[in-house]
Amino acid sequence: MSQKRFSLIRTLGIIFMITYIVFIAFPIYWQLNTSFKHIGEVRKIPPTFFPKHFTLSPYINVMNNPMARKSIYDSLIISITTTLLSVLIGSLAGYAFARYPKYAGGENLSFWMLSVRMFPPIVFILPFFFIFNNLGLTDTYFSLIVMYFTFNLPLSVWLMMMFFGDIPRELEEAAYVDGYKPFRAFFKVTLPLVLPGMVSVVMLCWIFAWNEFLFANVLVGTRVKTFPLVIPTFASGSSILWNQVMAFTVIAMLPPIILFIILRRYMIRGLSLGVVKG
Amino acid sequence: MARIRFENITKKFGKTVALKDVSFDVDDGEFFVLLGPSGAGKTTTLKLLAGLYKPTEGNIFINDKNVSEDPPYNRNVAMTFESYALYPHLTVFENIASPLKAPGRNIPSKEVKERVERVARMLKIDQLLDRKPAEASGGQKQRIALARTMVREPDIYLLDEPLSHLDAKIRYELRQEFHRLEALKGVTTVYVTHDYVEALSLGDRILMLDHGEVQQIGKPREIYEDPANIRVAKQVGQPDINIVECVTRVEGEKIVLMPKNEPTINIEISDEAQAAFRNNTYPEVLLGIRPQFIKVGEIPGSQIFDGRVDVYQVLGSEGVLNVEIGDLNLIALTSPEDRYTHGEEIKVYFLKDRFYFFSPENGERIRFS
Amino acid sequence: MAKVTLKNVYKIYTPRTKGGKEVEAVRDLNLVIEDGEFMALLGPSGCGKTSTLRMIAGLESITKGDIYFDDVRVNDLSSVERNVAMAFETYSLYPHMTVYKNISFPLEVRHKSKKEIHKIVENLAKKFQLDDVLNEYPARLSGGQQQRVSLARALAREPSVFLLDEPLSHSDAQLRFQMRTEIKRLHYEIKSTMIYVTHDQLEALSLADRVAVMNFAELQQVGTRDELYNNPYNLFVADFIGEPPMNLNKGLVTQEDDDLFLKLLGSSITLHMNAERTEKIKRLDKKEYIVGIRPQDIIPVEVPSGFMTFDAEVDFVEFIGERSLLTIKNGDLTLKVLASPDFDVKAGEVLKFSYPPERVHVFDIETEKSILVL
Repeated sequence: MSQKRFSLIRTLGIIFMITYIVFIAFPIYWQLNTSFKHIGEVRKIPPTFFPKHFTLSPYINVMNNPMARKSIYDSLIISITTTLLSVLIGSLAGYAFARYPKYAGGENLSFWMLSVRMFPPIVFILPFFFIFNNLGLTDTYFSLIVMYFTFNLPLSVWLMMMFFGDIPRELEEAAYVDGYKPFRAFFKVTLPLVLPGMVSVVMLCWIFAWNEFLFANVLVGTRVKTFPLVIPTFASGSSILWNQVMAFTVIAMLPPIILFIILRRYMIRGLSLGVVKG
Repeated sequence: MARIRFENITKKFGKTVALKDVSFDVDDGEFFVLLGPSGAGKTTTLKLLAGLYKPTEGNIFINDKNVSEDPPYNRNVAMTFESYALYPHLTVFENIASPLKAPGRNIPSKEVKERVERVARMLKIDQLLDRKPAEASGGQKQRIALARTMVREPDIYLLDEPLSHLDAKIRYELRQEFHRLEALKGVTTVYVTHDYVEALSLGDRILMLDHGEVQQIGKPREIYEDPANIRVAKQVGQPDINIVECVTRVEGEKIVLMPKNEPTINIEISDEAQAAFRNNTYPEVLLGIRPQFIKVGEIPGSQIFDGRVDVYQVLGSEGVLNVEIGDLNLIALTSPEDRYTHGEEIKVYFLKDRFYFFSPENGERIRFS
Repeated sequence: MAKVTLKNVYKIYTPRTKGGKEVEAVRDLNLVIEDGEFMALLGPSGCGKTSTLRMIAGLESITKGDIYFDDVRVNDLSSVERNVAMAFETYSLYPHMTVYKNISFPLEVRHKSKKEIHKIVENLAKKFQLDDVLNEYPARLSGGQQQRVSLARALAREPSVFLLDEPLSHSDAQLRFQMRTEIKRLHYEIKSTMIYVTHDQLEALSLADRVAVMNFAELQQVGTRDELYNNPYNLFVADFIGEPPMNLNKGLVTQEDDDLFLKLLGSSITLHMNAERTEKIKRLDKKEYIVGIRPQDIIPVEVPSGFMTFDAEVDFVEFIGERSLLTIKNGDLTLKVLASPDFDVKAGEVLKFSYPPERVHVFDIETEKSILVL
């Protein structure tokens, strides 16, 4: 009897999973499908589910568009810098909060930091715009990096604090007794153990900076332009060049995917280590 | 080779006082045990020795050199942690080799390999060298931690509860190994435990610590047979020492002890003790009787009590008898061959020469010389 | 109250994934627990003792075989229908309820009247010395008190069988000692059928009327403390039971004239056995056996009648309070001996040691069984 009930639940589960996968995967499929079509075929009704005339021209057009090329470059610079800064400062601060809560301002300070993340970002836009404008810093890499850094840091600090807190202090003490000075002990023991967590922080920071539209739209746009700002420009007059939009977004999807593939190894290794004592 | 001197050490964490004016000496090559319940300050003492903590007051000397302010990596001490503190991301080999590869040691990698393999063979973990610590059993983890400690030639070994998380059987086996390991002989060792059996079995001398204060320092037999106070008497021995709250009373010519919760009986005490209690210096005392000094049966010349068997348990090499004398419930040790049933009426006598007396105010032993 | 009978019981865990292996947790278990008996299931982790308990409790299905409570086959009955009570390894008290509420909870679920509940709880509280803490929350109690609350709660509904799953394994040594006494006292008082699972042989031996020793999913031996101690069926039982463990060494059958004895390998020690074992060895006609003798059965003095002796040197002495543990050696062989703490001896002394020949255990090397059951 229980066997039957079990298989019914299983079947329902599988149906749900399939629905879910279709729901997630269909837009990506449609994106790829459209990006390899001529604009005429895109507008055809009923739509074709596979390009009749396979073409790379949308990609070529996008790559020949200097504004689109530069936007990817700008986005990369801003995202990489923001991510590195957030993870570096976040790790140092997180370590301090985890190991020396009394000296580092205690739980109140770390919680207060996180509270920055709780405000709706839109609240900050106007003040930031005026600050940067008066300082003559609008339309620079600097303004966006500072902005994203401000939003990523609390999360990074908070997460790193938890990861460091999970590592028994005795592991570091064992290294000191083994003869390693604190800095060497940090690199020999603490860092390798916290790496999987750090990798997930890298991913989160990157995703935020890479996809962000609102701040970019207000703070930059002429000399510096991130890729989300470029997408609307493919709408020309009454028509939208869907195939180029799709080709462009496919290109924009590549850096995070590559990053994920590289970092995935570390995340999985972290899960199997079993840092907990006993 | 090292002598240790702890001089009036006080250690505070914020407002909590972990150690209060602790002083002791450890001789070169001695196996010195810190015994005490959890929270007594044993691990704090060990970490002060390792240099992981700095004393709030007082000084620590290793070989007459004041090391109070030296960081751990400048002291030549090796330590095992209660949690083992094995590096989970490194193999067993790398774990053991870690102290040899520390900066400034400059040991050629061939020698590192030899030394790791030698210590691994000695501790019977040579088959684990390529694995990660997570794949080892509890007993094996403990051996790996020991190997990491013993691979060096330190001045001092510091061992923190090395056996406490293991099964009784493995604990027994490893304890036997501690007796045999040549590497431990001749090197000053400070060993922390809450288990009195380990302390008595292994220690050349024992320091009994409680509430951050030294209760007693002495050889195993002194600690067990001549406890300084009620805390020491309770910490060593299983089953627990029987403690009876008594009032001293004059009964004819004699001074006797009347248990507070069973006033119908008078416990006779030795002439010496009577002399001490005669001038009413102690209106009340705590009487301590170890379970092995409560006997079932009657022998001429001793005071016989009527008892009733409450609970009787036969263990491996002894029987444990809970016997009721009126409202007194006492624990006695018997031979494992004896059999008693619940409710059985028996005769009981005490070995009154083995009584301990403690002051009810501060728990200190009342001695008469 | 009930008599529990297990007949050819198997527990096989089917693999979760394809290609996984079936795991046999309990193999062909036959066991009768008499009404009112205190039975301990003893064995190392993974031996099947907990699976057995869970099958009796109705928390786990029975793959094959039958379990009876008295004459009723209970295979298809739920835990509630079987009316079993179980105390777990973790006390699992409800932290948001007072002690009173914790104990009365299983009764309220069974729709008893307020008055009735009150009477039962008061009664139990007295029995478990919990009267003073009835209105406290579990967090404020000591470990021993929490343990008592969990036992009281389990008993509140007068179960027919009372099951305990390693109830003391989380306590420290001193508390464990006290709790053991309490549980034993409890059994005197309630006299209900109790089944107690543990990996600690001291707990099993001291508490239970009989102990069922399990290993590798199979029952090794069932018996009283004396039976297990003095007549272990096989090497596993011999080695698992007893602290310090039994001295086990290889022994060579040696015959001089009419005298047959076992010479311990690596030493000049010869051990004599009782007539029963000597006869058996003559009949089995093998060269080597495993010989076992318990540390407490070797006495470090010469005892005149009924004992045999051998010489050995004292290697080291451990004073452990209530007793002393001597390590003695002869040639390459070391043996453990328990002595009185007052026994005055130093390392390096050569002494005569006595032993009763009937306490020399002999096991077959291949089957690891006692020669008495071969």
